Amino acid sequence: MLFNSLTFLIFFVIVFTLHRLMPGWSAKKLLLLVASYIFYAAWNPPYVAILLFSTSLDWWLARLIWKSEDPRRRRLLLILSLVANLSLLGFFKYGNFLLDNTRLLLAAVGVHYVPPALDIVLPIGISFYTFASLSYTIDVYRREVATDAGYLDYALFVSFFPHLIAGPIVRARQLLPQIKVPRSASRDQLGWGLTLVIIGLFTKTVLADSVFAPVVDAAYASPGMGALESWAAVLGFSGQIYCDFAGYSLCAIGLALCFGFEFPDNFHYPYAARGFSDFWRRWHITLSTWLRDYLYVPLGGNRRGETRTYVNLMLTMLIGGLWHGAAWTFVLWGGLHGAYLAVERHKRGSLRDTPLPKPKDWMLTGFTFLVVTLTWIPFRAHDAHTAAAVFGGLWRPDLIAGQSTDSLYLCYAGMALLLAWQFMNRDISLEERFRRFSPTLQAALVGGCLVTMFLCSGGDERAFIYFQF
Amino acid sequence: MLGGGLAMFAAFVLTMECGLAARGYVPSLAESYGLWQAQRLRADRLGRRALILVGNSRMQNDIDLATLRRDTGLEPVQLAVGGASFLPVLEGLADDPGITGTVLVNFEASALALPAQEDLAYDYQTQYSRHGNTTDFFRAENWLSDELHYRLRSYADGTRPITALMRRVLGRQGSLQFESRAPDRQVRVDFARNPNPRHFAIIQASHELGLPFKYGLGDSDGYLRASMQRAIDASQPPETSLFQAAARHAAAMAAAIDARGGRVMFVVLPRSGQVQAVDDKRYPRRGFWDPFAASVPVAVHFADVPALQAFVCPDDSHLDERDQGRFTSALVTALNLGKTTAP
Repeated sequence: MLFNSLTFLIFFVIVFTLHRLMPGWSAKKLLLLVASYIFYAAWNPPYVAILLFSTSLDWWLARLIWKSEDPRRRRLLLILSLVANLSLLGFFKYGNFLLDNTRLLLAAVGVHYVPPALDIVLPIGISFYTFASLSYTIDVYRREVATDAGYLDYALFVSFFPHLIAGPIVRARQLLPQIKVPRSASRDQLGWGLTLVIIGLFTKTVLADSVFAPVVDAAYASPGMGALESWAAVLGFSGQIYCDFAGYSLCAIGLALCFGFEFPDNFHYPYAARGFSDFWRRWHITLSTWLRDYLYVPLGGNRRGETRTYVNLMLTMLIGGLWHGAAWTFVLWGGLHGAYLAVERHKRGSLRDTPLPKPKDWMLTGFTFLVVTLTWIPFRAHDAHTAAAVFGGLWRPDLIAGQSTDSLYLCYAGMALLLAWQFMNRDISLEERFRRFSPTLQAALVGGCLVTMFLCSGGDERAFIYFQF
Repeated sequence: MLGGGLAMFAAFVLTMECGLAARGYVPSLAESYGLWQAQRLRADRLGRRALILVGNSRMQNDIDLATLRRDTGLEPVQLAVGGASFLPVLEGLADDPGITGTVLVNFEASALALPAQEDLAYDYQTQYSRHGNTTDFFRAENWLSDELHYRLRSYADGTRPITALMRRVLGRQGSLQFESRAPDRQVRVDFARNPNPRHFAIIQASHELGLPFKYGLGDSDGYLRASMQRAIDASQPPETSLFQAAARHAAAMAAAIDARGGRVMFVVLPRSGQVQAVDDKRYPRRGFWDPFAASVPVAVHFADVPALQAFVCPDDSHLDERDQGRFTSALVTALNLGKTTAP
């Protein structure tokens, strides 16, 4: 069920109304749990079993880990949780990828191997709920979270529909305490929650799908177009992926707020970042902090010398890249970001905290954006050949090979406005910015978002890009 | 804040709808798999009561479903797909043991004489064969979306509201809506609102001829018609071996449906002018229709029935909506499908 669908609108209205009418907190929680499983089942009913299995196993293992005082047993149980969850993820997400690469590897040494044809359908959101669930067993193992949550509370934490499919990756320590205590959205929370949903849907359906996606899709379908088209596509994909995913995150945060739950921010104007470490503090924040806390730090972080720090950085980013998809292009994308972080660290440490004169600050922001944008090319391309062709198109002497100039100019204008908005607001939150507007302007903005969403509706429905990850 | 925003949105939509209504627009749906799938599922559910229509845009534009329902006592199910061959859909019906009703096929010799194309009908049938009868989110979403779009003129002709706003509300010479499609896939064309049916006729003829027809904005109708005539004169009938094999296949599919109690009828729907000329030159009856008609139990050519021949296609290919009812009644009579003979 997509947030930008009529089915979801009806689903939300029913669930919200019943939630308001339900008398007790336990009944409200049970309603949200059932609704979340219906939400998930709407996509592929049998795969609810995987969600249920992962949830039940981690809840049970976490309790055993918590009760045990034997370090070896505790470690063994944690490993069991990791192996079970990552095996599921590995089978569904990386099964074909592993088989294909095994075939290529064996072929290189002269062994002819034909892998079995696995017709695997990736369970939607598995990367997100696996990470959310794993954070619980790891935190319990570290004794940072107690296992006082009941099964139904835990199941609601893992499956709560606003974050289930594509994040933000909410951790147990953030959501379980909220699920424990009865809560209801205040008038302010409800108003802001719905406003966030409207702004999120606007960024997704208007900016990502209508302004950026047509230009991007056309250029990546026939790579090697004119320079103006190639640049529009490359810049446009920067805009598309941000608006798509940040829009989804805003919807998720807003929907949760309508039920009184607070989710962490997932994006904070990443294209206004001053350097790459600053970019990763602003882009997909819940994933980058997850990777930091559960991968980079356990690997040793920066505590084991310079060389090991670089190795850890690179490993974290390579795995982060692979998390996005089972293809070498994602690994390349992660590796490039790992290299940028390593070089940045080598040169200056974190640039975010270094006060810079304005012109240098702007140049650094522009440089970071440009490099991040070019690095999206392998991420968007289906293969290395397409990536190379799109990159080559940026330097072609001819400007336009066939796309409509209107859509190109719209794409450039949309990107310019998006960058200006991010640059203007990079040090304040969206809520703070919105509260500074007069009530009339706030109403006009909400109305404007609704009107443009209506005007752009009715075309082909696009799923959120991050559903596939 | 939210209330103000919602009020602004409601006022905008209302103003736009009133503006479009004042210009004569009616709600209309775009062709989609969702619409087709809903009808295809009906064909199964209705069993013997189904009167299933298969073919291309002629079957969509020429037949009035309400008249068909009234005159036959059967439930019409519109499965024709514009610009597509009848073969994939007929194959799907023949393979489905649930299809036991009456099937009316709009015969086009080109569908059998030319190599099979992966057209829209092929796409629809392929999707349906894979997961046609599943109840899922997509079906619910399609249904809701169609219900909404069929209540708002802003989506007329399958456009996005922004197109309707730019071209029809704000545009100085807003294009007139001359075609509409209902949720039951009933298509109506009002040629009186079409600014240039003759231009459409040229396009139809070139489509029938299977050639891209190039024209300039300043080309006169006379010039275009003369150019088209030269192209028709130069054309030749295709080699018939492919047709013969495909015709046997189509007859076998019809026999499969007949064998389980259904009925399959083939009909050639009206055409005129240069479209008719293309048909006569490329697919002469003697080599194509006549042998096929002899191989199936029920086959009617419009040219053989004076009541059907009397209708004129304004674009040489389709009937005007004002003729749909009368033509449908005449066709029911020609096919002997009146209430007394319906199963």
